[in-house]
Amino acid sequence: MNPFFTVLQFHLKESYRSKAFKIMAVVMFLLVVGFFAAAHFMKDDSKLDIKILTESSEYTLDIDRINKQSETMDLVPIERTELDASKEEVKNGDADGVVVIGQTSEGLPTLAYSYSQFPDLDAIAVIQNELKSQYIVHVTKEKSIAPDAAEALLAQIDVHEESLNRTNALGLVYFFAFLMYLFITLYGQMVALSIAGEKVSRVMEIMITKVKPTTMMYAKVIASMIAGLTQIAIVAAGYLTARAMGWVGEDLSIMGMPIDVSIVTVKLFAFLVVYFILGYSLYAILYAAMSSIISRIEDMNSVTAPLSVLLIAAFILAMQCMVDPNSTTVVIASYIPFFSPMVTFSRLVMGEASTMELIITTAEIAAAIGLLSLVTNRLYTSGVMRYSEKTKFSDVIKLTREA
Amino acid sequence: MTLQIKHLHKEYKDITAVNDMNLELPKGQVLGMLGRNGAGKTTTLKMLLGLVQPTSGEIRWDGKPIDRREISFGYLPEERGLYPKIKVMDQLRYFGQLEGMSKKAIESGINYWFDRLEMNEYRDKMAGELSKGNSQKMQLIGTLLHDPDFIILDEPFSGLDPVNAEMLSSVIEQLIADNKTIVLSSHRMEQIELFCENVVMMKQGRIVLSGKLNEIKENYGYKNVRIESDQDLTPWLNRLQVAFEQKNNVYTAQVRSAERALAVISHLEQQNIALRGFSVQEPSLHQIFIERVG
Repeated sequence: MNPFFTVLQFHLKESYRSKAFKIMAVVMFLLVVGFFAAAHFMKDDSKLDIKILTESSEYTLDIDRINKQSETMDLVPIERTELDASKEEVKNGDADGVVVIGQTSEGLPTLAYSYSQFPDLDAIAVIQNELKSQYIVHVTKEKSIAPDAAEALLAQIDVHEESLNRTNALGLVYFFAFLMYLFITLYGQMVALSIAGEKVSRVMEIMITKVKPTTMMYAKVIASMIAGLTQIAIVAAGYLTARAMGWVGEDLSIMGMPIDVSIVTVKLFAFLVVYFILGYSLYAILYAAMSSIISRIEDMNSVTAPLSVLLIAAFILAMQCMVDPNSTTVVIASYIPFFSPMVTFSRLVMGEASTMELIITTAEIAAAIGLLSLVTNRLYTSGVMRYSEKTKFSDVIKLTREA
Repeated sequence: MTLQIKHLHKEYKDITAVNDMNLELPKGQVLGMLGRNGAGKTTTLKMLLGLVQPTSGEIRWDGKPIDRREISFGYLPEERGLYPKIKVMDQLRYFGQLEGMSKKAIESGINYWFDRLEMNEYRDKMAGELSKGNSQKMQLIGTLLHDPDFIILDEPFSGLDPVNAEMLSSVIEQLIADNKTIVLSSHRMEQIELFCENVVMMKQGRIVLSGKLNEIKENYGYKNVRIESDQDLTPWLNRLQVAFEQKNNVYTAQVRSAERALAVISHLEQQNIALRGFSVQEPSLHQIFIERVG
């Protein structure tokens, strides 16, 4: 067998055999299936519990009718003596709000709404509309306005909502950006650890006589990439399992951000794989080259820290994309190869990345990988034979110049 | 000639690691490479293996520039290393595959070496569970599994107990008998004297002495006369103006030639001094090393 495939097969087998891989595979699968199962079985069907105190003789609500019509709230009438206790309930989270209906001396209805932290404007709008209708009826009678004119005044204006941004994709952007950040970091560091381990254990001394250093480096990088893709496939398998069980429904959200799974098309998944492969390859060859120069595992962090900073920056920019996918910062970042995989993919999920942008950015990352590999190949080849007491990031720069 | 090194030179930024090295090693012979730490031995070995590019000069094998793809190398590095969390069998199979061996050849090779080095009980162990000596034996198997033509052993005896050192000695003897070309780097002079027909001594990147070991010793410039006597020989040897060392009742004197050695003994006999024994010896490699490199 070709040495490249022999090394690849060896390291892939080791990745699959490792406890970390097995545990992560199980955890990822269970997390995805568990997320959909939880959303399906633990749907929050409870209605808002709103206490109503009516202190107006003219304006009263037909509580039974409203409760029957509303799917989101339950109005509970209370007496004046129960007001303080009800407010305490709201404060403690046992009720969702207290509404006091009153009346001014001019005959205008008033509403006092007490809530715990965040007001439920939809619920209060229902009560407000009810009172407004009663007020209009009251005024039309008082002013002797014709009944058909009064009816016209009460007409509702229909609102057709259309979101110009894909706000329903926010949860997906968050999920995919995090997934990509997690996998690139995890499998990039796995490559670095594997190389540093070979150097520290001195197996490298044997290996470099049997296989060319660059062959070894790329075989390791690709072995870890295949392991990473396997984990992505496991995430996909988790999603497909949940879908087969009928648990993938509407109204999904992650950390309060809506997830519209209808956006997850074959094209989107294919680009997830493409950007993962490109992003991972870009960072993995850098991880490999940088870790090749260290002689002690303790030096790993100081040498690879700049890569971690770049990855965190890419993740933050992807988060920025959720807020404003067309901001100048995000758009510029989407064309910078170090940020492109996460940022451009996030823009794609948000429906903002054009086909041209996808073509340009993938070509850019591929070109960056090609250019960087010229340096990393030489750095790795000289790095694997370098042994020193302590290695710092400045040594990477020094060796790169010499290479 | 199998191995030829011509005007080999390796310069790093601040230092010259190897300076104008020239040597030849015929096929099936053993070269002992000696020198203090930092003398340039490991750099030379790495250039032989193609891991370090020479600044100038060339290394030829059978008249052609040495090429790792065409020659089967076996390299036992000075620093021992195996994958600690992988079973030794899996590692040996991996090394065999990288050398282009068939599965059948790998298995029979492993079985042979496990029997030979008495390692069968460690087949399913992780490398990290092995003792230092057994790790070294395992690494030796990895070096020899593919039956290489050109073998480089860097400090092969370090860390071995006497039993394992004896086992390794017999392996090296077998390799010599099998007509393998071997470069042996070691600080242990007795091992070099035992196995190496040729030696090269290096100091600060330069060869200070090289050639056939017996010729070096024969032409080194003096012989050792070892005389054992219960009498005090000091005045007699001083009278003969012979430099000597005394340890208990053994006197070791240095003389220019075997004839001069015999003349010293003959003189002592003429003085009716009782000698318990005497011998004329060539200088040891240890002596030569200390004098030329130390």
